[in-house]
Amino acid sequence: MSPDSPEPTPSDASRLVVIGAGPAGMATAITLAERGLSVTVVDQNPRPGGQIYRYPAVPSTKPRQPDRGGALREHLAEHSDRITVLSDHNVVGIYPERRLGLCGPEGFRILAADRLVLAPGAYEYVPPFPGWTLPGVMTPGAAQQLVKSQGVAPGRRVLLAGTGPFLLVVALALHEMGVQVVGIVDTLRRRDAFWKLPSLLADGKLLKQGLDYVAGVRKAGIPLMTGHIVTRAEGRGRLEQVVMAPCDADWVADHDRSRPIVADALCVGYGFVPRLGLAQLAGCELTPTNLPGGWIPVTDAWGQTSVPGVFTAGDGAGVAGAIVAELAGQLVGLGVASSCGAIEASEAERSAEPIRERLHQLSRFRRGLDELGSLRKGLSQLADESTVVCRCEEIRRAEVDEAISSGSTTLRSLKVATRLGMGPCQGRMCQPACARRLYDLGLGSLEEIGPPAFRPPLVPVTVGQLAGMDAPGGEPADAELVEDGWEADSAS
Amino acid sequence: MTQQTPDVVIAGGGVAGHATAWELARRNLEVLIIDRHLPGRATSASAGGLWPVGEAVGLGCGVIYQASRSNGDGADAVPESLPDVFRDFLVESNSRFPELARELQDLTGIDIELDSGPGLLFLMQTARQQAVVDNVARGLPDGFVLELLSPAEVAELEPAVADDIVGAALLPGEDQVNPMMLAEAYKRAAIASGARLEHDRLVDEILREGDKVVGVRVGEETIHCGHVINAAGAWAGELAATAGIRLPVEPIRGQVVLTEALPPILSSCLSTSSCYLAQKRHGEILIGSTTERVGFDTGITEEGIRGLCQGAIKAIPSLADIGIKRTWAGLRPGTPDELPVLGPVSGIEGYSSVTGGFRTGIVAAPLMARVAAQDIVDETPDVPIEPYLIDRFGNQ
Amino acid sequence: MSTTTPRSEMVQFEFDGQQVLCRPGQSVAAALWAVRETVLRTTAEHQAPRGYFCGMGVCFDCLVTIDGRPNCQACLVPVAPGMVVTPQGAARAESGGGVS
Repeated sequence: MSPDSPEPTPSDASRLVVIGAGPAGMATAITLAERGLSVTVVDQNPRPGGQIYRYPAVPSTKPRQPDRGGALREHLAEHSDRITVLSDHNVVGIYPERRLGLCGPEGFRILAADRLVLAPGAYEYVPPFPGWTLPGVMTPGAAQQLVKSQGVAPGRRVLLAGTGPFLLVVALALHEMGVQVVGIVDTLRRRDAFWKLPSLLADGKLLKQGLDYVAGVRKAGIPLMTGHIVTRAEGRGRLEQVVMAPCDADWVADHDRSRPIVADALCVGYGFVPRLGLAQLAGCELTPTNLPGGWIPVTDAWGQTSVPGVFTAGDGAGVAGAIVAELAGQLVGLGVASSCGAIEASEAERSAEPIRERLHQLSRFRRGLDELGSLRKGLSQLADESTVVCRCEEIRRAEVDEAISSGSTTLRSLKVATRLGMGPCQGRMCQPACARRLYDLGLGSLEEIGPPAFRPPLVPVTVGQLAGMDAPGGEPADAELVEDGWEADSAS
Repeated sequence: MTQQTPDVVIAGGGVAGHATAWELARRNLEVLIIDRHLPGRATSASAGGLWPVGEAVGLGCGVIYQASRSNGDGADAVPESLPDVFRDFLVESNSRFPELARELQDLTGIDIELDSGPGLLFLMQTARQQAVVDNVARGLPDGFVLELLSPAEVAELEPAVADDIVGAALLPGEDQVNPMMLAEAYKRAAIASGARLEHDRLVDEILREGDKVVGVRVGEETIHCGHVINAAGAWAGELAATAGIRLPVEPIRGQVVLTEALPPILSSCLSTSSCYLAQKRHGEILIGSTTERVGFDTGITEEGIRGLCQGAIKAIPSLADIGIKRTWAGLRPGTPDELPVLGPVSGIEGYSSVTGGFRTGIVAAPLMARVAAQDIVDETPDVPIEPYLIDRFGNQ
Repeated sequence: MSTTTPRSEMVQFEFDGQQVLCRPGQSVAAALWAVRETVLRTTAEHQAPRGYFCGMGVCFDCLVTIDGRPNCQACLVPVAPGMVVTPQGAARAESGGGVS
């Protein structure tokens, strides 16, 4: 059974566009190319790889280990006759009929798609806590970028904190580059991990990998402080020390037993939030979950969203890591190929079978991990009255509480009452935690509280670019379709 | 859930609903506001321009409306004016803002960000526009000021404005406010005066028995009350229809562009035949708007945004390199004659409209709410309500 | 960490009036972090220091002015020779009396 198609299109006339060149996006493009289809990949970075497989900006001093990202980039290049990668391009808007507003080095233009695959990935979840805006406080991923991609140490005494296996990954990456990691503060209590062991055993290879990380951290002499949570970051003008405390099963801190750790870099993250802007602009239906960010697009067995012709894969469809992202990308590739008629539905099913089986095997493990990482109410209690909860607009928690007591208990109503979410980040940094807090306060269901509301442009573009003023000669230009021999649509 | 029967239920919590709630609550009525913030609510989408004369003589965002109604080149459209009585209504409502800002700040602590600059500056970009503006200036009654400025005078007043203009017309005293803060302040003032708010709930139906409106239905729940106020904005027509009342309010979409925060570069509100521009309290420049009949679609279009961006650069060339933070679209509650709809329906008890703000809903809100409230409690209204009654549209 | 690049290959740019050397390909944020310049701007409302946070362009904390253009995300922009980078202070209209 093939996904419902918007309209039957001959396979060689279909315009296929993938947004995002991380593992999911690359896997989709490769799968499509392997079946003889041409595809355009739009990516905001200078080279494909996404976040997890980011191509280093600065060549590393150490010999580069061959990694999955390199292999995927090679496969992508092998199919360069069919795969066009538009690097350094952002999707700023999605207009009716899957028309994309792109902004790249040559300015603004429209790219029309017959099938669209959204693979934007995710970003880190950091609930607000006192001092979290101090320079020196960053996400674990940001620290990883500094050291692996930019060749810069995040600090002289670096503390990792939060929850999730990613902390161990980053700690080891830092250690390998000679950075002093003074500790890892993880909310997960050993006894909680123990009860999840059965689901974690579902994939022996992944579990071993996780245990290897733990062993590696131990061998490196990095203190692993489980069942603890960071409660404050302190310093004059920049981070100088971090306060942490033991926490209970709900991650509620026991402030009476808190103690300071001297650190000049705090890398804190509690999981990942799917990037929803593209799905929202495309009009996809979303559904709430108990994971960071709360919402993911509704999809069918092929990754097609509620909008016919729009598919999604990877962490942007629901965070599950790079391995799952790649498999999901392959699956979506098959779904798209089938929906265009390039392959028979039965062939798609056949090819999908081993992929689905592997995903199923991984899902038990993932579910165990998800439960370990699911949000506990202690996170919502970290911020105090004066903590800035909306970084962009500098809105303190006290102002939010005032608005809540005047009847603003949804993200939308809080936004207009306090400006929370009106800054350039469009609420990415503040709304997931704000929604979670409303939920933990018992003020509504996740549906009632509502998803964030992204509006175009998803990344800043200039007035001139959207005015079409950047055509050669500076004359105003009407938006043109990306040329490659296609007939232009008549202007709508 | 409500236990008692309130005196008044207000359907809709935009600026009109909350302003009316305050007016009634401070007159000791028991008020229940039922509100769900639907996408496209005009109050939150609005620029917050307070341009009574500008709109009345057709030099505010009305120019865009008129230009888009006629099929010709927008630059040469002749502005149509609004009736004098409504111009005076808008001027009167506008005059109340300074006192209102103080009062709301004292009551609620909220700053509605009422900002005054030189006024509303209409840029004349062609000789034809200049001729039209001259006519408008001549036709203004005593007491209304429209200063004509030369390009050099404009350059001195607003250095950021393009110099390839024929001149400009300045309407002093036309200011701006933050419409969301205004609505929020009204809401908190209403609650402080005893009004209750049921948030995130929607009035699905106005219940009518014969010639009497007796309450509302919210989902499965029935709420009886003495009086229902329809403040549902773009949705007011649909809501009125549930009670068999023909209210010709329909959504008129307006797209908006908002830049990133900038240092102060614009002190007046600007208006041209393609767009208007205002720099808001937090430094962002708001560029609006389109006028489209597309039902309740709050999507933005590449053509709409392109037109606004082109118009903005024509007015302020340095905006070309400035980043856009957000674009959105709101749904104005439009009426056929561009006037609001206030007060009762003749022959029907227990119902009032406070809606149809169209392009002037923010500046008109204080007086709309006041007059509608006065009508309900039989107080002599500050200004006559007759021009705004629903009956002007014909039989029900 | 960055000692293996010969001086002749390093890129020079200006930050807050000072000359800074960095490795080719580095982002403005990373290059500044390498010389311990961690404060990239101060906020409009509370004059609070902000710097590098997410490293991937979603938080908009690392905003600097580059060659006169404000609100550039330092973590996304690679350093170019001769670039003039300045930290951002408040960028707001005056309150109360309107815009001056």
